[in-house]
Amino acid sequence: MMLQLAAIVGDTLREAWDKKVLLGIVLSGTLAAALLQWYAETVTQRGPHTALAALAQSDPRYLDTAFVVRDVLAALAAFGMWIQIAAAVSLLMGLLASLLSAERNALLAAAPVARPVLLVGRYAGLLLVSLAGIAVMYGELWVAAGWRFGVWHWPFLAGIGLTLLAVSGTMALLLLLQSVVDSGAVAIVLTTAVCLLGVGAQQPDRVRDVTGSAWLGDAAAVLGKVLPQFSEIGKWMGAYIKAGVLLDATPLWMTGAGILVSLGLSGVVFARKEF
Amino acid sequence: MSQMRHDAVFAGSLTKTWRSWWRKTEALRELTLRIPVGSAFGLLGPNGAGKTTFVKILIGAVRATAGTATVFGHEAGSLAARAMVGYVPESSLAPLHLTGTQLIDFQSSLYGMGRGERRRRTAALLEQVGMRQWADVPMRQYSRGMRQRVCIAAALAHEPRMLILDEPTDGLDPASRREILELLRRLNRQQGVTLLVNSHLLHEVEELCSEVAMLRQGRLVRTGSLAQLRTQAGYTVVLRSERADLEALFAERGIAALREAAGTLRLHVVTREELDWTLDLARAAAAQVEALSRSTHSLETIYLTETRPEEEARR
Repeated sequence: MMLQLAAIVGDTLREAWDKKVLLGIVLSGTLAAALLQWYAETVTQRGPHTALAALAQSDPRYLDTAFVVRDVLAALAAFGMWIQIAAAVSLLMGLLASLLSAERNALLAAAPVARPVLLVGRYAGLLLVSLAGIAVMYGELWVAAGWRFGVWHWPFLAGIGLTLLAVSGTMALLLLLQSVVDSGAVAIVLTTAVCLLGVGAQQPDRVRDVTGSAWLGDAAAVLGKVLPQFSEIGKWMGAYIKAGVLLDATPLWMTGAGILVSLGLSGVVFARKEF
Repeated sequence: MSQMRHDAVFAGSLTKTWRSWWRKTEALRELTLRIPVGSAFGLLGPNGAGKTTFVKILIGAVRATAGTATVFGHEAGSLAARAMVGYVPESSLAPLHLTGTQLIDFQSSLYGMGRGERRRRTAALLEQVGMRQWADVPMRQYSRGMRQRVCIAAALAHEPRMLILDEPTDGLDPASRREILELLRRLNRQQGVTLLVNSHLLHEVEELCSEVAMLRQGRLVRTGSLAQLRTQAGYTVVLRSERADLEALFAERGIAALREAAGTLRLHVVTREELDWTLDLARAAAAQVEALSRSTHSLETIYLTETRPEEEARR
């Protein structure tokens, strides 16, 4: 089974390479790193009215370069996570649809490969492709900060794993929806909707305030526990990178559980599918 | 059960119904069919006859709604059955981003073969299909015939007992077509590989297969050896007429008619009664009878007779 799994992962990577998706992901990682650096520099350092200048007036720690770099890196990591989620969904959806096309699956179904193995192989292959973009983005930001300010802040690289976790959650959801609805476009829209709903549901008090409905606020509180908790992962990552603080790890476990549930359901749907 | 052991494929009352929210389509209706071990078997029928559905049930891509299907005694679609079958899709479905070596290597991995065995087998198969010098060239640079040869080699990677081929020579030039047919004949006769050829190309089936089954609207309408089918009695009538609508006139009455050249129509009828009213109709339409003979059937005339739509056949 491991041999079959490796073959399917390899085939996924080869197709990602051939269709230049891998190149696109790596370039998008580089572009994201460049944009984030430009943003960080513009907002924090240029001119007398920058965020840094304002912060330094009330908190003297902002006069310390290492502290500022850690703070900026924490913000960039959380922001970068959302960029990587968006890049993974938009760049990998076409590849996923092609890999799971009926003709392709009919050909693979003829071999004695259990369908869940096929699905997991494709999923793992896509995650490896995403990992390339994530590693490039975080790696470049880390090197740039180290090179420029002499601050080689290792915890920042934890962003790679945490962002991969968030991307894994998104891809598992995408895979499930693609398996159910058989339409790349619909799967993207639904995945985006669920992710946004997840962000909203993390703030039940705001939902209550904005809508004026206690019932909607309670519903958001319940949904917030089961929908993807990416904004919470962002906060977790920020706290760890900035101050080395480990917050409550519930959002991480919940995301892991969500991935397993999504993959399990995808496996059930996929095993019953006809090509 | 013991009979099933001698069959490469056995289908008993196999039924497949496709259901959507608003429509129900019967792709296979109580299909019962045997494909003997070692045979070269042609599956014929017009589009929508259920050939592809049948093949997909055999390879496990589709589940039957009712009935049974076995492959070498194992339930069709089971891991054991799939391990005995090699599937060759249409050449247009070949993964073009791979080289010949990569495709065979990938296929071998899916069957759990180790690296050393894969390497040895890949080289041997590429040699067998005459593609060794193209081994490391991406398949998008191959001609259709070359792609088909490599796809056949990939399907042979795990030494299957049966090859299922979808339109194996469709779209190939005559030279490539001959090479593919020759390769398949060799596999069948020298290595004893059972062939199941799903095709609408009669000449391909006629050249390659010893037995055929004809499907129409999901039902089996005729099966047997080609020799048997050809010797069944019938009549061939050749008519000369300038009437352009004559072919349609016969078709309306369920008689298969082939326009051979301008003004000449070849008809095939099975019974004496059909012959009588064919001649009556010809006289009524002022057509001249050029020739009338008792005939052995060509596969083409059998096909046209057997696969005409049901409503025409009833008339």
